[in-house]
Amino acid sequence: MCYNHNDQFCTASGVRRTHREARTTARKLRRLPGWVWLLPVVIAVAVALILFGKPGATPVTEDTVIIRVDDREYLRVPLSQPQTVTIEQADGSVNVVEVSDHGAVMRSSTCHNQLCVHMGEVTVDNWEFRPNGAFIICLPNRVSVELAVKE
Amino acid sequence: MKRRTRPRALTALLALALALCVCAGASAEKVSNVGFYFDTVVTLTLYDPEPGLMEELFAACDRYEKLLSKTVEGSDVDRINHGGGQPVKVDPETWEILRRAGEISEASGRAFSVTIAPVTALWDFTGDPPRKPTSEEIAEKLPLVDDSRLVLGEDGTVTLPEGMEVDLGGIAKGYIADQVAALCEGRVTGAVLNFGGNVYCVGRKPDGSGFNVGIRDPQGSEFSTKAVVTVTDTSVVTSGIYERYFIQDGVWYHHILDPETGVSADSDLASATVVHPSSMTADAVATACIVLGRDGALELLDRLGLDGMVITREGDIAWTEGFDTATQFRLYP
Repeated sequence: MCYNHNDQFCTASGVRRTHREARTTARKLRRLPGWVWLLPVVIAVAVALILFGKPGATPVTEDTVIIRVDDREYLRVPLSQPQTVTIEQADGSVNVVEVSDHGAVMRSSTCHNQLCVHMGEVTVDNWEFRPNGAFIICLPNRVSVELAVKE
Repeated sequence: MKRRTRPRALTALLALALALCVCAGASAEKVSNVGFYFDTVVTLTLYDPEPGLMEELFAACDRYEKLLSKTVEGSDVDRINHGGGQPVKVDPETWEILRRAGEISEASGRAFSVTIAPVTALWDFTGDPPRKPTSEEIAEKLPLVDDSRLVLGEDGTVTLPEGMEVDLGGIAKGYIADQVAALCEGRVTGAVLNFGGNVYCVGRKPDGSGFNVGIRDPQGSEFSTKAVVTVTDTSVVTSGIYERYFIQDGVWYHHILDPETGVSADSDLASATVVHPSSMTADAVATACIVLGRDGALELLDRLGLDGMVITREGDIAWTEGFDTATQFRLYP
């Protein structure tokens, strides 16, 4: 029987223990308080929370523009990577979002009311004070642009 | 020595586990999501939400849309409108909204009405092209606008005379905002819930301050901000004549109809903002304010004990006593 696959049963130098030593160790482990066995579970849950975040939507780690179509995320663009994003949908609608190093603006839209184009730019300086907050919404095309600022 | 080592190792493990838990929970995580309901967009921003809360909130929006939307077949409102003059058993929540709507209708002197639906249906403010009904069409439907003929039975029923219709568009979003905010209670450190202009702020920002809500400048271009309020655990609802409108022959036709005339309210107000923990109340009262005009709006707000501000079509601002201090109101920029 080999115990090398488990650190608990190996010395630092990796020398194989005897069956007797292993049985002694097992007896000692059985004497540990019951709550000790909860530790690995607690650690696993904590690590999972850190790695995968909270459900519902993924938080940002830097100021990022999140573009959504309907309620689904289409693209994330960190402000550190300015670019122009064109969203073309199957029904022929097209929205063009310009992401700069300080915010985003709906540059053009095929929607009939053009409200989204007139919502102006959302920036790291004005997102808290705009009537639409951090969002630019194109309701007819169901496109939304959010400036998610890391707080 | 070994007996001393083992507790130390266990203590270290426990400390590590606790530290990891603290790290996982202590960082102020902000998550947002978007949904399309009630013919508008709903944006929810949650700070440190409990797992699964975002989904729960949108599920609530979905449920309320199916319950309260006039255009969803089988909804309570749809069943009331097609009740043929017979009592219709409705969900207790629908009944309660109608009860409160009746109160506000009465308090505002019928400046707010849920039975304006037959007239509203004649208009199309967002269509391409939009539609303005003729005077004859409006005159034909106006007799059907009368909230006092809506009967709420003690057995949870609603009875509406045949031909009349209800539309909860002026109050339902507020009610839903209240319910969604209630679901957030104790499950976030803060939240900004925006239901197409009905904003509910729950708790505080990560730095402990209140949430800022921008109030649009009705005269401004590109949705510019006229003023900012800072609030916690309350709703900020603004009704404006700029939300849904069209211009025909030089006349501005907007979606807030005067229940008395059936046409766009012709008062001196461009927008009305009401701040109150009941978003349902704020929603309906803000609509009524536009119909009443500056003086009538401020009188109504005072009488109901509500905080609010109004902006006239000329750009003048007026507010109720205490509104500015309660909301840290200031002009912007």
